[in-house]
Amino acid sequence: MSENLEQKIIDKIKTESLSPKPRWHFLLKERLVWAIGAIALLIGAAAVSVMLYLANNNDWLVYEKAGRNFGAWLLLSLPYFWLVFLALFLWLLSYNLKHTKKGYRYSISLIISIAIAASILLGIAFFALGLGAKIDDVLGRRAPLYDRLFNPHIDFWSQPEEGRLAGLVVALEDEQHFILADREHGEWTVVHTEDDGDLVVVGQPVRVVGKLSGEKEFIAQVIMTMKPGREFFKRLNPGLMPPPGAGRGPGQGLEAINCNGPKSESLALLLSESSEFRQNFEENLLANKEMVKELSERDPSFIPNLVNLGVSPQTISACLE
Amino acid sequence: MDNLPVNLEADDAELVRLSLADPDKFSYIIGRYQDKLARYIRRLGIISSEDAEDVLQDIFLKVYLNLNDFNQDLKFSSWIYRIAHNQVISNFRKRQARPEAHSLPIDGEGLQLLADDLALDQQSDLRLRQEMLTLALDKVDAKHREILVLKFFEDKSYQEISDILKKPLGTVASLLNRAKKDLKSALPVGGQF
Repeated sequence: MSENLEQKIIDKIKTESLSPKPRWHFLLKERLVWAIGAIALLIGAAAVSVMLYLANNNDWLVYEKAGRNFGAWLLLSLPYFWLVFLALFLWLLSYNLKHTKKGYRYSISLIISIAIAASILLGIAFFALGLGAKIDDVLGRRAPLYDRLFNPHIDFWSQPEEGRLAGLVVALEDEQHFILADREHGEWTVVHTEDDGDLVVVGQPVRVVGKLSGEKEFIAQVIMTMKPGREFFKRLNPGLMPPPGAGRGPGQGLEAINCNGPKSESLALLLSESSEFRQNFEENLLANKEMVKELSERDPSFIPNLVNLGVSPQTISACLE
Repeated sequence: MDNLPVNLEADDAELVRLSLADPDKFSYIIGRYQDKLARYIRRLGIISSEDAEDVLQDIFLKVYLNLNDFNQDLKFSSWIYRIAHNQVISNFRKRQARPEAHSLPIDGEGLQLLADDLALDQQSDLRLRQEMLTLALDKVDAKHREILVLKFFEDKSYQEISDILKKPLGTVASLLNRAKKDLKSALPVGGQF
């Protein structure tokens, strides 16, 4: 080792004008690690709150009545997406905890345990504040593949051949019959007792346990409100639903505007009660301009009916351009 | 060992403060740690003097650039050893080389400590015992050798080793146990001479 190493180093510092990195550089790095960890904790806790919301509204009793065992129910109803999502953010939280200034002093098992405990505790708090329900509602309204990815219960409730049906109440035919739109935009006539009247509200989603009694008829034994997934079903726009007996497609659904009877009244009620419903309805009209033009040429009362329903003049003009 | 001016008995934290204010004062930190780190990096496997000098220069430059990262939650010696350790590993990775264990200098005191800890036969010749231990150290895994070097040759405590290697205390203890077992099994005739 040369004896002038000390001098070489000092000379290099001076000739290259090296200077120590500023303190804020290290503080920023440290804060960033903690910030990313905090974000991972919040997101993980949000996932926990959604899982608690789903679990709190699980359908074990219904499943049990259908004669299925606990294992099968568990496999079907576990929220796999949320579990993987949580695992990812638990990893991120643990990684950041381990990389704080003193994080190396703690074993990885302790770090992971802390991450899990913190996510669960905060998740419980978020659930109690209603965040789990809010997140589910937002995803239900907007997320593509909601029923395939985020909420495993939708599939469970879309099995009419097994006596389970879910959908949006789109019309009340009389005290014992209502029309239900399922997630495939199919329509069902549901027969029920008068006792369930309070639960059957146009524009609200419901779950029905019963049995098939015809191609598109269902006899209800139990009607329940929909909690997880309620906003998903509200996406269904009954204004564009095909009238009974007609084929599928948005165009045929537009003819419902000129129908008389419960369907048209229900549509008017929905449009007046819900601004979000109205917005969706007008967006669908704009998305089907050609069909709107065709119908207005075929039936002169079509446009006046749209006006009566409260559709904005700007939307009507845009459709006819 | 160290030829520092007599009046400079400032502790390491004070030397850091002085160096931040005046780069020339950094020479006192270099003077205090140059020999220790030179021996340490040789024990980790840097063979040639030129390589050792280059690595040592890189270490001290890194120390200088990161002076503001030092705080007194940690001993300065642990902090500078950590930088030295990481720089040596980085050097091996860059050269895609493996640590050359046979560069381990014969260090009577360290080898004696090791022999005592392993409860080796005290009746055999001292020099022979030390040579056998040095040969056995050649054979053990690099991770085990580095922890044995820190414990027995650099005389670091468990806490200091934890801070240098950035591992929990429990991991350090179990790593050291495994390292000693590894070393014992590498000795001739099951550890007996």
